[in-house]
Amino acid sequence: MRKLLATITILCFSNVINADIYVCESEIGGDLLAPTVLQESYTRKDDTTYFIVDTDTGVRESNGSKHTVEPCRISGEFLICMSFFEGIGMNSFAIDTINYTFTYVEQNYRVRISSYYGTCIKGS
Amino acid sequence: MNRKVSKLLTTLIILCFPAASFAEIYVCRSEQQFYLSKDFFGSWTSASANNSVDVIIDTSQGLRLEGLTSEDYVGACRYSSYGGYFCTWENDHTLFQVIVEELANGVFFTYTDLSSDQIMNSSGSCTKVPP
Repeated sequence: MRKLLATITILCFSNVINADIYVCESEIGGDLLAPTVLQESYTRKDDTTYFIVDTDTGVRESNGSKHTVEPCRISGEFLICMSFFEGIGMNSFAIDTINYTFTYVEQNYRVRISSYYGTCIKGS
Repeated sequence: MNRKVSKLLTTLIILCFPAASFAEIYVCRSEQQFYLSKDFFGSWTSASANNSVDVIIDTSQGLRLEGLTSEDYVGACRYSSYGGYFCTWENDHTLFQVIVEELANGVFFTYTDLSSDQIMNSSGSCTKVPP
């Protein structure tokens, strides 16, 4: 029992220690929208979007909207956060941990794609 | 022992057969691409192009992108109960994503690739290869 408690404590504690937080600000973005799947349109958007990346819980926007809901993983120099949403689409957020830039694609059904590039600041 | 082997074989057939029977093949083409990319000076800009990009999707094997050195299928696809497939592949610091969906007015797909210095978005239509 003691060992079990100790193991759980260590696991939880190490989890807290390992969770990283990034605050990311978009610099440029674009939407590819084809709601009728007949006439495509692409719009560039220059308004800023803020994303908060918690390596344990995923990516959310500063207004609370969740973009990914699974733990992020490291692949080489990249931190990748990816989620599939049944009936909606899939989102992939990648932070280059060398220069703290990010790219993000929100790819949804009904031919709707939003893309972002920006920079991040690493928190705890 | 023979009964056990027989049961095992039956289980394997039951498990494998549905996967094989549900495999779909789509031949997809996009004619226009939209980019967010880093320019010569390191600034990010948006641009569009009119190249045709062909993607073949075999839902049991993954996707095959025109222009890749390998002729093999790569990545993996998963079915969505919404009525389509997600396919993903990660290679050389680039994520590739495809969504194929069958709508009332045709079969359509979106394709993106995502790296640290470029995002490419594309969409188009597909032909479903009869079984």
